[in-house]
Amino acid sequence: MNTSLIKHLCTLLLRTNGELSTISKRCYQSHRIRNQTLDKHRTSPLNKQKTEDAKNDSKPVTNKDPEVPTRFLQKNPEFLPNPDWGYRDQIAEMVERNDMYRRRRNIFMPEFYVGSILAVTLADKFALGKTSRFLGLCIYRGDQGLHHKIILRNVIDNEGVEMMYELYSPLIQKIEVIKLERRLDDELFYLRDCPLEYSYFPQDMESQNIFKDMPVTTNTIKVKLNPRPWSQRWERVDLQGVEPFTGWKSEKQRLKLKRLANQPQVKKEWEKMDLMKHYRESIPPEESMRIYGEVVKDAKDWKNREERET
Amino acid sequence: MAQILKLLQVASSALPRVVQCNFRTSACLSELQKLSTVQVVDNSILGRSAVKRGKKAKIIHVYNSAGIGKIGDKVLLAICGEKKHGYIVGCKQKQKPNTPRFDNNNVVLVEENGTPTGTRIRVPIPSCLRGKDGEFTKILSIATKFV
Repeated sequence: MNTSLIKHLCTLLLRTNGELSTISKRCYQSHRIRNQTLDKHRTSPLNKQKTEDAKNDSKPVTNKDPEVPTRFLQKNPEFLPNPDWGYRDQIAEMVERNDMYRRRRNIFMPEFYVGSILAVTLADKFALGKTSRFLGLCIYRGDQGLHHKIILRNVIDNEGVEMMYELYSPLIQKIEVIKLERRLDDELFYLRDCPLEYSYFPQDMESQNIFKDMPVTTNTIKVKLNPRPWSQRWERVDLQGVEPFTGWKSEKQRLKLKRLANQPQVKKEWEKMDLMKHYRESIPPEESMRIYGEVVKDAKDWKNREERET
Repeated sequence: MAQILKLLQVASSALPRVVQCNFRTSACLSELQKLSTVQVVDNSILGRSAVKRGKKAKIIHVYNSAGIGKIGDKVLLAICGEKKHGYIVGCKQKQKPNTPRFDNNNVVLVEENGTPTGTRIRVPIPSCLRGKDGEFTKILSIATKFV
């Protein structure tokens, strides 16, 4: 390589030095806050003052019941950041959390889990009356921060319909919990490969009487899978809420499925012992306590409201 | 001679072999492109006869620059030995937030002049079709439900 080319590359690198320092996996998430915007917050003198204040009065959160923070964060998992350090950015998380508080002052976010039945009312400029209400079973809940998403599934006119909602989207007008319960699995995507009767709930279903600190029951229903082909290879996943599969075509296929189900790669029993895996996939307790303390400081406004509504 | 044969064997094992996989390990994208099958959801005679025969309609052309059909795109279908135009009114593919995802790929048949072949649609229709450019008014007027 000749020297002029190296010089040229060096100047290019120097020009983009500010951005280079902040390159992480975050850059590839197009829907997140841009790095340029975040840099404004990083360099802002207001922000420095805030962090210094936070350092000065960083008292540990003292609760009578030590279980309170963990219970709160289980109910509201969107406050916890991504456990992958490549995606972490403290400033971005703080900015997103501030936006979440602002949204929570205007809308009531009920407690629900995967397996609960929800009804979401959305501002839809193309619908009659400018709003559309969709009732369905929550089959997925994920993504951190402001972009927390849920997927609702239902059957309308013998056709399975799924809607994905961003919970903190300003288009959402109301979130109602029709039935508060859990299922045996964390994700219920296997309902796509089940008979439609398992994911049918009438759109005008009456809501259960829900009160504060209500015990959450677990629905132990076991669904039956359709014969193959499936959308995913369910025989390789250790599903709790599914009956043992019986719809094989031949003896050979039956033996194969049995063999696959008993493979150690399916049960993954070593994962219970894998401390490093657990560490990588969870937020350390000190970190979650810090976040809880920050949330509780701002939560006075919307927490009172929540208590009134439940 | 035996040595030559051995050499040949070694050489053949070193050559790259073309192995075709008939399985996949990741989830399917379920994109609608040429030769993908769809479900006709109106009550036209052609659509019903296709269901009776057990032969699904096949896409043979997608009228957009990408070549991958999304909700509201016009397609050319091969159905019961005929060529027919249709509009995609529901996809199996992952959708954006607030847009419905269906369990099947749904298509409504239209004539050459844009009028729908059937008189009723049996499944719910995404309401975002109302905002799309195209000749949807006649399709929307025969729809029964919106999500």
